[in-house]
Amino acid sequence: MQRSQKHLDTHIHCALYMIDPTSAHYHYSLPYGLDALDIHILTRLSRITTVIPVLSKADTCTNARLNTLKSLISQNIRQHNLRLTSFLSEQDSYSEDDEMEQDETSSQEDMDTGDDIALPLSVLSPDYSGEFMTSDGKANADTTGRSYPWGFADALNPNHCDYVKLRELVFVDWRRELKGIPAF
Amino acid sequence: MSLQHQQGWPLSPPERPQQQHRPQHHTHRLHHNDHHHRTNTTSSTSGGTTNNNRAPDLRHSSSGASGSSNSGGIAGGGGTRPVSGSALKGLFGRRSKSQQYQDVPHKPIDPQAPRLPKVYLSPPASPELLAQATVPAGSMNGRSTSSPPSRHYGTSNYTASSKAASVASTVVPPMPPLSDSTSQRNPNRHSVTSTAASLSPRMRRRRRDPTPFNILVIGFLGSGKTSFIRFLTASLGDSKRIRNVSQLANEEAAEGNVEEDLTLPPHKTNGFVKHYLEKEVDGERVGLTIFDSEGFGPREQNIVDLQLTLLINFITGKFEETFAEVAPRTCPRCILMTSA
Repeated sequence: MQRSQKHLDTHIHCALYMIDPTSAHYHYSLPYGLDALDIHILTRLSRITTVIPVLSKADTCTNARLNTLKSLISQNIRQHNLRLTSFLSEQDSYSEDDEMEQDETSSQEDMDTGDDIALPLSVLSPDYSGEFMTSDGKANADTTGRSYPWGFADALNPNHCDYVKLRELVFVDWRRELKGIPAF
Repeated sequence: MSLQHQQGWPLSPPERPQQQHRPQHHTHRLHHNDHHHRTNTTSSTSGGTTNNNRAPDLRHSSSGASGSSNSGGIAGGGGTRPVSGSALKGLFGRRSKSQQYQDVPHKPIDPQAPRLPKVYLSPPASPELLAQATVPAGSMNGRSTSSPPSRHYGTSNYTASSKAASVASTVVPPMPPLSDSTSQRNPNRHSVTSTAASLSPRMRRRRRDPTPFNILVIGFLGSGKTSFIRFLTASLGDSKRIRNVSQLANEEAAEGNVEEDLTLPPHKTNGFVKHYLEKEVDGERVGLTIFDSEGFGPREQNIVDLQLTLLINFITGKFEETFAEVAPRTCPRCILMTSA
């Protein structure tokens, strides 16, 4: 098949799935993280693209809640065999030897999804009530987070949320891998 | 008469072969006049027939002229050979007969006579053409848009793709001189795309375009998709490894992207807001497209299923848009196939 040159690569390289922790469906008392609809969406979408779950509104969660939700969701992902970030280990195995020992790659995959990348990553978005951009396009210092009566939740602070990590991973580290894998 | 001429002119090319086969057939001419129902007088029929006679005439005359010009050029060269030969002798001294014979084709033929464009006669012989063909093939090497004959990545394809480009340029059949100006934008060409000489400036600009990277943000209603995108677009350049391209270029690129977006049929962008920005990631220009989707509705199985189907159609449509052979914007069949 000849491919027309003027066509850009338009297909979706990855999808960020935003999970709202304030929703009643992820209530604190519930013993599970994602409900059946989330799993349904994630399973169907993970067949066509890479889906990266993102926990939004990290500023509304206490530390304990954030950690519980993260571990619950990553448990869910593992339980339902969602191959969300499997492209990383696939890429590794392809780059070296195509058909090396399968056991090794699978164990590597477990290791990758287990401790290296802790999905989902949490994110908080600043409150853009006032002016939010300076003339040169950079965000203001006080518009990188949300200020509360008791303090300031900074989106760029790695202790407050994983925004910086997410940005580096998706747009720098994983970019080639995300582009490299075929969507189907 | 001139008006009728203009009306009759675009209809003539498809009927040309019939006219050549049986130009004197009476019923055919009547049938043909029915096609020109805009023109209703008898003079119009004569105009139509003259128009239709005109196209093969022009073709014949052009091919005949080129053929005769070739022979005339050679004959003229033969005629003038003693003169220039003597001049050469005077300048460079004695020359053998074979050398004189070699001089003949390089002589300028009559500049007034129509002839084939030089591009199609000897593309590998002209060095600037070769340079034009190799430079874009090399520049697009590391990118996802590789040349059609060799869809691979890596530096080893540098020579292969450039060779393929030059070979493809030699394969191109000679065009009649009349269509020379329109041949560059001919939408039916296939192999011509690999030669840089035939690229329109728009397509050349595309080759310098940044690497695309497309991201879709999904989630339930109110899960913070839009505000996340807003923050992302504002603060992406703060990273050490991601650098802002100049704001002006970014706006230009975004404008160009919006322009292209408007040409899409509206159903393809329904519910999806497109944000486009250009950044420099590790020294590589990246054209970042972030799609903001409509949130999934109330948490009910059937509603979410419907929205999910739309979303999957969107993603697969984007995928097929990338690998479509013809321009996908004119082909609604892809969308039908994915939705089925």
